[in-house]
Amino acid sequence: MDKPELSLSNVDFDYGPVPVLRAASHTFAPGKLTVICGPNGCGKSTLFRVLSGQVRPLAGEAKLASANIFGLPAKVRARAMALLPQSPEAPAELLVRDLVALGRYAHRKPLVALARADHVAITNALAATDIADLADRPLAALSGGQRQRAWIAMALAQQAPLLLLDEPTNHLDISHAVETMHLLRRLIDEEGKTVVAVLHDINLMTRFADEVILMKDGRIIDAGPFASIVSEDSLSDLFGRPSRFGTISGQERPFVVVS
Amino acid sequence: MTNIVLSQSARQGRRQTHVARYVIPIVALGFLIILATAIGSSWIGPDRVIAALVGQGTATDHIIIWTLRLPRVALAILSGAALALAGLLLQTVVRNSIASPSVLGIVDGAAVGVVLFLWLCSNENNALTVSVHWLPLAATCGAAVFAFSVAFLAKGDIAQPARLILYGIACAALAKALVTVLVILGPVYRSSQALIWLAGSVHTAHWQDAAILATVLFCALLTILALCPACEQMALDHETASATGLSVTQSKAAALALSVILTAAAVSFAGGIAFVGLIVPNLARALLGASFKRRAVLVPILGAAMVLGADILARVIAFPLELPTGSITAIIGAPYFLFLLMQKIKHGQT
Repeated sequence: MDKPELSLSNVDFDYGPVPVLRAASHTFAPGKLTVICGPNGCGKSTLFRVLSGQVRPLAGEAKLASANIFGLPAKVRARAMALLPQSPEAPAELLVRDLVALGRYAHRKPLVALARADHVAITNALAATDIADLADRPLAALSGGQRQRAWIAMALAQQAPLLLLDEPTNHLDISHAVETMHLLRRLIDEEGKTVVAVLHDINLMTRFADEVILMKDGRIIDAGPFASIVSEDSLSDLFGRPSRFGTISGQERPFVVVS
Repeated sequence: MTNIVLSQSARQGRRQTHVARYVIPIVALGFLIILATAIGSSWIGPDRVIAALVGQGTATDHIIIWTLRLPRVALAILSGAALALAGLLLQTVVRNSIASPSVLGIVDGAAVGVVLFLWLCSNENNALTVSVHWLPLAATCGAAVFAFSVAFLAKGDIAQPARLILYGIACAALAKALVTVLVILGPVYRSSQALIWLAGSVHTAHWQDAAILATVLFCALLTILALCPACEQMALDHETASATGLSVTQSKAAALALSVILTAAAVSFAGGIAFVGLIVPNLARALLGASFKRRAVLVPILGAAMVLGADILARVIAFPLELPTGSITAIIGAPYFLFLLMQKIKHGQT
């Protein structure tokens, strides 16, 4: 699979008078898990909307390979990049299998029913998220965690080399959250995908992130490989609360306690 | 192994119930067609109706059925199918199951177009100065103006059911007021014709009307076939749908335009038959679930059956007087609308 490079250069964005993004520049490392971290309202979700071409930046641009993402046809963009927003919506009566099938839109030809490749992608996505046995249930009959996994399955069915996930572990209990992170790890290591995720759980970030972007007040304050970015000091500054690292024998990465 | 066998038989069972949910409405529609043809100033038994339909039977039966009764039946079926599809498209576009062409003022907008047309294009002798075939175009213009007014007012609030409905009701009220003023100001003969039309009726049907409506419906069905994957995608919110590759704004504009054309075409031949576009998509959702594709097959059949059934009731309830078909659908539809609205409020979806 080719790895199209995703990058931001000097992006500004406002909602009315409120500045949301200021001079955001970054080149996302291909074939890595990049975690965006920062307090509420730091501009993470807006960054995603710019990256996925939903909004046009006021200044600067988001690029995929060398093309401006905002100008790309929706289907071309969707084949290169799947995005799961923070709170996606679908009718409660929709069956899980039908929801996951919606991820195939960019691959479908007009006037043709789902092709064999579509069914394979749907089945694989259901299996990867461990919800194959729920495929014929309506969304209303799922728990919060199961529903979240159904949404992730929809994004996976899109089979895009780039995966953008806005809080994918939201609503998941710790066991499913860790499983989801392992799934992302597997997609990166085995299929060479590039994953960018917003995570609120700092400990998931410290355990799984290859690259980290720290954001505050609409600015990217620091970004780069985990080891060079994440420290007790940088996290304390980011959240305005003293953070302490601890270690467990056998684990390379530290855990974080925020006091 | 047992599991696989079990799930296969379960899937088969589900397919059978699904098939039944298509077949039963089709059979019901067939019965209604025969019943609607049998009823009239003189009762013609079902055996004679079927005989005439297949080209047998007496010459008198043949003439009564083919020139007097069937055009009305055809118009009821076609307008019901068109209105129901218009409702399905509209509910899909706004992602809201209590939207419909009548609730959002599109039916009344078409009425404004029709009354304006009757007023402006008739001479002192109350004869039309242009061909009556321009009527659907006038209805489409009126419907489009009001649809886009509601869309403009609700801009940004389109996903919020309560606000969208309020703008729709306000625009519908404005359209109704305009119609009343135009009817009072207009020529007397045209006014009475307009009043009959406004209440919704298929009793003045001609084959020519049915043929035009059938053409519009056929083209609309082809377009819906092409739009089907996009409409499925509209089940998702704007951001997620766009992320999966849907050009949201363009697709929604196309589906909305199609809904307006279908409404206007049905309304210009059959009058203001309300609430079909509200009830039928919801009924199909209860039978088949949320899938647009599955519902798009059933909705025209159910819509046809509903308007035909309402027309039969309109003819027999106060026999020999005839009620407007639209009043029957409104008597059923308005309480159902309130029921849906209360359910939405209870579940906090407004």
